[in-house]
Amino acid sequence: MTISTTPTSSAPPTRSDGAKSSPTPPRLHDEEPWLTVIEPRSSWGFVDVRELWRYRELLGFLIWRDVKVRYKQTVLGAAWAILQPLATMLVFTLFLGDAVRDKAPGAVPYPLFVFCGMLLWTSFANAITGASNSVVASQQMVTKVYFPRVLIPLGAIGTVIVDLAVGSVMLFLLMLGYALAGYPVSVGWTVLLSPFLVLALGMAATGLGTLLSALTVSYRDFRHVVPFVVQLWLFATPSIFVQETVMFGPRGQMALRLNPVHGLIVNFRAALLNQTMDLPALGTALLISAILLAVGCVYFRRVERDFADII
Amino acid sequence: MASIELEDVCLHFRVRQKRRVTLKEYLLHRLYRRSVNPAMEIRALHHINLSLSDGDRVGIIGHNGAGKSTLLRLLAGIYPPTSGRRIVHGQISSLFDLTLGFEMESTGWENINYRAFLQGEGPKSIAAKRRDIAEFCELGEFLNMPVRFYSAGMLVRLAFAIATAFQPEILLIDEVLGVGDLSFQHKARARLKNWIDQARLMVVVSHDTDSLAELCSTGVWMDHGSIRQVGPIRSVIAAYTRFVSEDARAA
Repeated sequence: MTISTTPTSSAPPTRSDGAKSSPTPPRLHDEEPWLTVIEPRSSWGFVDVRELWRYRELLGFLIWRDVKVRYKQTVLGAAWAILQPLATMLVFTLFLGDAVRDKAPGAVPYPLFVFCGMLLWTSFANAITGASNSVVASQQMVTKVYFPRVLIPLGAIGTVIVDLAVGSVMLFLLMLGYALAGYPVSVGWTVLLSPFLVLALGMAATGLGTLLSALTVSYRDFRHVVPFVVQLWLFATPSIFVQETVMFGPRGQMALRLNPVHGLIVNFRAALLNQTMDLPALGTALLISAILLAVGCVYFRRVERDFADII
Repeated sequence: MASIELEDVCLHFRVRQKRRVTLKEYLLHRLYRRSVNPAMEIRALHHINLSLSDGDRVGIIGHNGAGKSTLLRLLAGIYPPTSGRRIVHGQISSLFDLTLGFEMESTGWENINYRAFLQGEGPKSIAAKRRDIAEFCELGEFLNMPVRFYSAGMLVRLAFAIATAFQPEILLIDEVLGVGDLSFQHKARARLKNWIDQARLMVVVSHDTDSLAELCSTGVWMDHGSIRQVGPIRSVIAAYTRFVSEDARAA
């Protein structure tokens, strides 16, 4: 299916029926006329960026609405965003802290090590879990109004930005605290790379999230699959483990490489805490994230035409 | 210039008896090459050719299940055609349901933005209309409250004010909007009429032939997913009522 909404180059609309004296103000948003061609061919398209741009405000609203719904009538509000990684950090420090003392690369304090990983991991996990249910939950809108459907999972993924922002502040405070307490926490120029690593993770989440949201429409099985897989997936990320080379054999490490979240979290932590980055892992992770993004968008595009029908 | 062009449009739905394929079903089907849940194809619309242009006021009539609402949704872009082309010049308002898309936790003001975004409006055109909407719905201070505290009547007033505030070039109305039977005050009726008059192109689906005759100039008679007759509204309605009464007599 190709849906293109392109402004035509014809002159701005003038009414031919003599209704010029009508009280309608001129269209302010978009002076150019809209042309929409919808045809069934070529359902292998990518994303119609121009159409998405036209609906950018809707995306903003969807994100903001989800944030609001997420924290409405909660006593702690956005504090929940940091409680998840914080609680994980406390539990793992309590049970593993002694065993892995001083084994983290660069002698980084283990709680900081875990929080750093868990911040990214919980964001990623929340993004794909939220996105996978999003289209099904918006059934009403999908069957009644036309707008770019991909905005729905994108909105769900965008919600995570708030969590990330709050969590980053917490992470900064944690680093500051450890540095002041005399722990070997240093920051180098690589810290400038960390936002890009978060962006790359967002790319992977977008790809996987849109893919899962489309799959959930046709196969509700994914409602059961996703939370379960996300739970297991945590153990394939370096959020908790300190010495992968010891814990995983060569085959396990190969498998780890295929997990884009692994490479991104390892490098995020290295970039943030001024350690050597694992460039081969980063390359693989970026490549796989890009593939995920492409696959997700193309699949979504291919099946979105049937959403109104099968949802 | 607003126009709608449908070139040989077909719309088929694949419906399964059990509604959707589960993963198990999918695997079983793959393994045994035999499905216990066969897909049925429903031909909702076949070979529709329709060309509408500026100034057209089109009323669609037909029996239940003739494909009237489906055609309207296809025009709106909700269902892409299975085959054929749909070419639309102009901005479409495709809100068929007045109460659709209210965010209960958000305030009246926020919902004005949301509904307008859904229709593809931008912040500038919304800003120009906010006062008009607020004035018309007469909600005053309530607009600062989440809409879940609104009464049903207040919700309808807000929804109506938003829906009619933005002037689409192409207006698609399903009878849910209740053009003919809006038991509104005089004010609402006048606003609705003005809104419809301003649209460059309008397509209405309704069973109420009286209001169709009043609103429309062209009639389209749908019958089992095909167009049976297109012509001046009164003659199409006359043909349709004759057919229905003959049908009733035969039965």
